[in-house]
Amino acid sequence: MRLPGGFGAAGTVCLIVAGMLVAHAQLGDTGDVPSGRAHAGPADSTPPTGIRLPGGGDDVPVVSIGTASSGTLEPPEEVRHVGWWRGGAALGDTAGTVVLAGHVDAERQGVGSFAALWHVKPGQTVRVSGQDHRTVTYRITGTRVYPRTASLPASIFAGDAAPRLALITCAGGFDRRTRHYTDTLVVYAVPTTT
Amino acid sequence: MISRRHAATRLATRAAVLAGVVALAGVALAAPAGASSTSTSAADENWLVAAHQMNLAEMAAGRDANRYANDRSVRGFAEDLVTEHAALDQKIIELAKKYDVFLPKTPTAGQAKALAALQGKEGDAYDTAWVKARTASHRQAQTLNQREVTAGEAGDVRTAARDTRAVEQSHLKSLDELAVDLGVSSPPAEVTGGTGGQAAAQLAASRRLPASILAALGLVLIGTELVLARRRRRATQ
Repeated sequence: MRLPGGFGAAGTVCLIVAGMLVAHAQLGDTGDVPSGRAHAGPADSTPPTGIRLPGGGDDVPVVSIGTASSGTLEPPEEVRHVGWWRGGAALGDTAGTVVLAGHVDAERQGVGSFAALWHVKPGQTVRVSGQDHRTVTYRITGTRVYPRTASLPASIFAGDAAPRLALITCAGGFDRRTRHYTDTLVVYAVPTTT
Repeated sequence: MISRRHAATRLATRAAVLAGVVALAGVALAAPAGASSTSTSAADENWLVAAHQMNLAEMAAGRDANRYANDRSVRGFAEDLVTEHAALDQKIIELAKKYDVFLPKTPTAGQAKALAALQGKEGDAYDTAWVKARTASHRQAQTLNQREVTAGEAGDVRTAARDTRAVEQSHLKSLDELAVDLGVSSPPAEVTGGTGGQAAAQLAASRRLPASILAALGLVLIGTELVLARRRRRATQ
């Protein structure tokens, strides 16, 4: 069989890339996961009450949420709002991960505020405001995608980790039968100032 | 609402306190004729001081939570904490008098700082920070209690440490239950943040236009290649 010339090769590449764009919309891992250990010190912390994601836009309200006995963390009912896991670190804690979970969408409400996390990149910044009106700026260091069928790694929530932020939402393909996404996306960030 | 589980644990805690008080009273009466040593070591004296300061800290934390906690179960447990640590401390004071050990009137600087940090919080944040702080303080206390039980010299002080250990163990059980109710007992295993599928559909739609343009371009290029190939074939014939 004769190999295609320049036009044929370029055309084949275009078709392959087009196919990948449509069929392979899943996100992948990027950057690094911050892994330092905390240095003990006095904590002057406050619960987070708002978050501003990369790309501008308004502050998204953050409310306190807990883990159900089943181990599930259910973000707030309002799809625009974000939940702060009160079992984790608060803003300003000298150790641990500030864990914020939000919706990418909900059946009757449409697209949620954390759908924006599908487009973030390492190096971008996130601003989290607290109940005492302080603001902490975080720099995104990386993203990780975990299969939804497996439990999230406990290391994400390490209480002795150096201060960091974990933004959690769904990703992957949407299963219309179970009405769930196939993966979980975790965006990691570290404070730009401590 | 205070759950039945909490009520059962509180009853068990009270029973443990009562048993501890009875046991301590028995030790106090029997001590002069007992087989174990009636003199104290530095370890005994250190434990009496540490246990007293821990009791002061727990009572202060309990009074604070009884007033400021958001959750009724936390307030209920805080009330028990004050009562039960007061009962434990009464016996520590008796033993300190017996062995002429000086007891400080305030918690340690670290304990005072931890209490002050709690006072800056409110609502759910206060409750969860309080439960976490009490769990940490009780675990720390259990290490000291265990050390005294195994390495102490005076029999009645070791018995007091054993009884304190039993009461604080029941407190840890109550704290674990409170942590479950407050949703902070364990890290989340799963996050359910998408049930509509609109975000996936939106992402697919956003990629459809560039994919269509690329596909059309690809077909044009391949078509051009086929036409050129046919012309080359004709030219060579």
